[in-house]
Amino acid sequence: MQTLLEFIKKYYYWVLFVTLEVVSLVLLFHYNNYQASVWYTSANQVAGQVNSWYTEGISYIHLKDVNANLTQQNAFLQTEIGRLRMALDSTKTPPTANDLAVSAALAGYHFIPAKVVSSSLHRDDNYIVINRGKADGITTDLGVVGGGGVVGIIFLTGEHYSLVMPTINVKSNISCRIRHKGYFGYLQWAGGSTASAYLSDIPRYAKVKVGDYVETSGYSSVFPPGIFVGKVKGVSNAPDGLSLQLKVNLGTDFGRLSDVSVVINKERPEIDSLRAHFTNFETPSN
Amino acid sequence: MQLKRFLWFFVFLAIQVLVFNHVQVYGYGVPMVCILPILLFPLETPRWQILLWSFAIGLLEDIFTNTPGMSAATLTLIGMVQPALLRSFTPRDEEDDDAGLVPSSHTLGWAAFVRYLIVATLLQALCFFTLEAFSFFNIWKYLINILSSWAMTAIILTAFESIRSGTSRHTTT
Repeated sequence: MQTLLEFIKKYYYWVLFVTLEVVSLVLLFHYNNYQASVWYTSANQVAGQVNSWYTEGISYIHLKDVNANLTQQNAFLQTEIGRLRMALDSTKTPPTANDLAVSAALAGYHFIPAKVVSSSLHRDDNYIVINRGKADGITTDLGVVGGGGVVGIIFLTGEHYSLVMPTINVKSNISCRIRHKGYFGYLQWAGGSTASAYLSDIPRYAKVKVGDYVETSGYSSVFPPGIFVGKVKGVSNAPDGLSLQLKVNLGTDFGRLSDVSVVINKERPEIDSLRAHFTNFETPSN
Repeated sequence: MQLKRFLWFFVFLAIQVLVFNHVQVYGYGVPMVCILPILLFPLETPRWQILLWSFAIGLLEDIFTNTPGMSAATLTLIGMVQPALLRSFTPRDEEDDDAGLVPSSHTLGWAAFVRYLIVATLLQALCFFTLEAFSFFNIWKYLINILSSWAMTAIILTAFESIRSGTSRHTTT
């Protein structure tokens, strides 16, 4: 007993060390695996506030008000273009039931302007924090767009700040299609440069050229169809040899992102409940 | 003394969050300066104190960078090895009265102090990016991250120390 006490007295710091390491690793792996609590990310009140002061200082130099207006306008115009393009297409060929459904769905979207208060670029798990949260009606899995097109998807929400998983996160996965050609695939990021990402699952027989536009497909209820994502920069075979992999130059410049809009779909609950019926047959994706 | 240390921790955390987290050289590596206050603990400091401080500062850094647990685990490890590491870089003649040794370029000598910084920051970079590799692994990115982060951190901390020793020499003479 005496020796045991002596032992503990002498090596107590090992116990403390192991405990602290275990706590750290639990935080790390818990966060990597699940949609964890927002408390220990930079979407919490204090960190959000500090970051927004910082951004205020920085964006003053960047003429933030002018930028905000332009971005907001741009987001509206982009959906408007998408809607008009679809209307144009439907005059050439008689609209199918699907086209009609899509254009009806577009009318159901509206936008909440937000400001980026902090962002990371150099990690594999990049995140962006915006200054809108639950109090502003933000929920998880909403789309976020900026002046350059798609930015990402809301990952976690706090009361006044939210964490966005941008397209430049290795876990991001967004359903996209080639404009006017209809082939669709999933946009993923492989780390490294924040200027480009990869569009996979494009069939091998698809005639895709460098310079083609990539836009959101609208198959998920997260983004309206036709929002600009980027331009095709290179076409190559996917590692599995069964499909094409396209290198896409992203339209959004993540290094200078400051004003974004959160896309809210009024018909979302309806779509989600429909999807819930089918989750047994297919895995839903964004 | 405790209050002063507390303030220093926050100064370094603020510098890390507001300046160095925005430094990205071609998207690789960030200087991680929060390690310095931990390395400057005097030799006689109780080990539980070093460990708790290291963990706390790591956790705060994590909150700002969205990397829960990564900095906390890394800095706790640094806090654990700090006394042994410091002792190994202490000159022989100082060892007799090393009870109150405060690490700096004055007490250790420039060469030993810089070596101390280099070893500690290498350990930090290795540990941090190895933990990051659990979520996504790419060998080249891993190596470049470690090297660039290590080099930048070591250079910046050496610069800090040269400023610090410069001003303290002014005030003493």
